[in-house]
Amino acid sequence: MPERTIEDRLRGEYFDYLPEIRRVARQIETQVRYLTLPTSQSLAHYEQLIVESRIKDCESAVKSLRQRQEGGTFDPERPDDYSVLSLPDLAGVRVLVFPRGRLDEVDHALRTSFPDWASDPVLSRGETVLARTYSGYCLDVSGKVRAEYQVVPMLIGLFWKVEHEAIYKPPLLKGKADSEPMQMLRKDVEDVLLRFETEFESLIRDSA
Amino acid sequence: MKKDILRAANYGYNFDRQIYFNRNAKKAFSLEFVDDHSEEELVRHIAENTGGNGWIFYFRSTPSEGVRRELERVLG
Repeated sequence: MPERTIEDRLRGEYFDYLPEIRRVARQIETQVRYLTLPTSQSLAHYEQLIVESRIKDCESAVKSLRQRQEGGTFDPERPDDYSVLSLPDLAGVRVLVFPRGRLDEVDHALRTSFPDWASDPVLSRGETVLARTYSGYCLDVSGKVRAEYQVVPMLIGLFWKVEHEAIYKPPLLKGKADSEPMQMLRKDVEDVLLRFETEFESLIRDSA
Repeated sequence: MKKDILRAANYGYNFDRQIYFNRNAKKAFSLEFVDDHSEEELVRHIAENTGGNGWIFYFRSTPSEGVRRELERVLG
């Protein structure tokens, strides 16, 4: 019988913890919805706030962990060094906000309830913060599975969602879509969406 | 920029493994190594004569035999 690979062992670990990952996802989603309720109920007609939760799928978790190693490769001589529990985002919530004027308010509302969570923002090409990202434990539910929440400008978040589904999921494009031209175009799109929001907010201010 | 230096020396980038590589020179640089070293050091390592008999991996942490074997398989 062939020996189990590191990937196989990690898949086993992932499914052992899947019920706990689901509980964490429900917990963080419920907390975030509750904490953003005051903002949701005071939105102007042109403003939007959407809360979405997701669980990282098994293969994404294994790949993500592998790519965190130097050279994107597990060391077969050190199989016990790896655990899917070291990932910060097995369960995640994304808060999409439009326009960006509400980001600070939402960020503050959540931060006060998760003050100890580690911050790891996603930056644009120009070093602007695209997504405020935090990770930590929902200790009421699990001290092992970490969760992540992101507060993101809605246009950027929706672009990422479409891009992820279109480019990273289909097996046909596996390993091909992450080319340098595509990376450059992704940054271009993010820059344009940020500029669009800036202009939109300026129009709103001018017409107030 | 370091990326331009590597591109000019015919290094491709493997997004899955996050390494710059050149099959003719049989050299591979990890992202971490590139981040840690200056442009001058990078130019020097690119120019190093390594004999070309086997792959040379410029990594922050020396890769184990198992990691080398896997990357050699991937890089061809």
